[in-house]
Amino acid sequence: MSEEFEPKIIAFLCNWCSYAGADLAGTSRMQYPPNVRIIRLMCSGGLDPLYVFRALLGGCDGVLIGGCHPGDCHYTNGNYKARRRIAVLKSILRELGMGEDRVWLRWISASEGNRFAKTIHEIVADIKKKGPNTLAQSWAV
Amino acid sequence: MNRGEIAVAIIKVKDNNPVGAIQELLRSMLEQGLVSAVLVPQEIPSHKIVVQTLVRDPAKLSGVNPLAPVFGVNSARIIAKMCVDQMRNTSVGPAMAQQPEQDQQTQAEHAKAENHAPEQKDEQASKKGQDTPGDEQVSTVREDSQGETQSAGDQQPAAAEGQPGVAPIAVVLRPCEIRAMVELVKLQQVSMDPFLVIGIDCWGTYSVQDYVAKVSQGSQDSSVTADFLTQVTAGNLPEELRTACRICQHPAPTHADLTIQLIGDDINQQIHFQAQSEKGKELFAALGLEVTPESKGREKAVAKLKEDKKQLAEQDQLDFLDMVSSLCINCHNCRAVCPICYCKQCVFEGDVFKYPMEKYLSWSDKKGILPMPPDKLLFHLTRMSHVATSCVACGQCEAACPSGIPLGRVYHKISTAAQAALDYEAGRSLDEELPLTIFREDELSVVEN
Repeated sequence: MSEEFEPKIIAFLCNWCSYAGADLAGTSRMQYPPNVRIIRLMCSGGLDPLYVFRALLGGCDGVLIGGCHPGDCHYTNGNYKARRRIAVLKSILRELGMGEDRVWLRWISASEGNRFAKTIHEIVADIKKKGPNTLAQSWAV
Repeated sequence: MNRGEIAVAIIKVKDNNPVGAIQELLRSMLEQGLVSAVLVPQEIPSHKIVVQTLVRDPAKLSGVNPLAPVFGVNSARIIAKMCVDQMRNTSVGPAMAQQPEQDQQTQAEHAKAENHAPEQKDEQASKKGQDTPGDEQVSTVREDSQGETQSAGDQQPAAAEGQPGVAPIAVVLRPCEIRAMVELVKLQQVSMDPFLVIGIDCWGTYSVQDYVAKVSQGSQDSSVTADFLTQVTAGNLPEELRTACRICQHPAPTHADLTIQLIGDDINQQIHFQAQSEKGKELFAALGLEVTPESKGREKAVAKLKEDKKQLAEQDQLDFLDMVSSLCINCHNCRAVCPICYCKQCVFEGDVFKYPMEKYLSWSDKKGILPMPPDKLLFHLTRMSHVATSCVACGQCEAACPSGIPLGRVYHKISTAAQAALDYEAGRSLDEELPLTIFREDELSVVEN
């Protein structure tokens, strides 16, 4: 069995920008790898780090958090707050040696279907290089 | 707090007994009615251990020993309990911020808040103001409420400042307890107003078990406290100090109204007593203390102590993930004792973590095996991400862990990193806003990858 490693990616996308961007990528028939599972949020600022940890511990190989571009948040500033929360999350992952480089924060607007598709291409290529998320390999974690 | 107006007095120590001098000081405050009660660690009658006590009778201060090197609970937690009613009656609070009448009431405050948060774009706020969810208002109300809590809460029973006749409650606290208290003020769990904070220098503490063992081993004519003080004033940090204390960078209290200063003094002869706030200075004057120059050796001695402890911190390496998965028994004691974990209901007690049987089975199906209970590591990581920005690294989580997971060290590590990333330090300032309620437009680009 020498199947190529196909990473699993969870994408938390905000309803107003990134999710619409992903939708546009779909309706415009842009090609991007099928490795991503999308979870729609009302705002990137509403994402509890809990769910990112759960994804990583549950065996997913990468997490994308997508929000509106700075200044464009539907709720004024949720994306700025998301950025701070992700900074905390990443510093925890870094200090514990858990792979902060498996978490991506990207700003993708509703009109940027191509940016969404490009982001997924990038992430999948990057994770294929890194290999599977070792954190979830042992059943004991 | 005006740092420029610091008043210092020397308290003479009799019979080589600094604890006695502190007892006298507290007794005179209580006797003269300058404070209505004292929250202070006190030896239980058998002298086996020291516990926090709330004392109103000056005759009941004979067991007072805030210098005992033991730290059973973080008193900020006790103080938060004492403030439950008061915080409930306070009309400014995150839970109520979304109600329209509240918005009207605090409109002026909002306007003010905007002014001292220049990083929030005004035109942006007005452009999308109608869509703004509660979240944003919470942050602005929060930031203002520190100063306004008292005026907003009409029914507060014992707000000392500005209400003559009601003497404050003196609380004798270690530096980490005060820093936790500062964070709890910002988290709307504690009001500083009813309290007169007396901070006390701290070299570190033993675990409760170690302290009790030392007491039972000790002879009649020596005390664990005296032995400890002899050792630390000579510059030797005992090996058995709690790990959180061994690496602590805050031996000297900040944000206290008054501080009892020991580091750098010959504490068998004298200790310094310093007033750092208006409240503290009033009491200073009422006690008729003679103002003297600041302690000379203190600054240097504090710096040396910090340096010694810093070196200990840098030696640390540990495999936390492995420790949690092998040792954690999912008791959540670390959460129960944490001064910062204040939620009424933890997310881990809620429906998110109640699973149907099929869920367990499907998880187990993935690898054919599932550790039970699951979510042990997830609990710790989530708790870390929730408290990291306000963690004061007091190490109570480690003390409470029945499996001996070195949580104190881990939390010290991750909270230092998280707070550095957001240019924040828990307990540093009452005026700095909680880092997750504010933002700057141009920051953290390193996070966007």
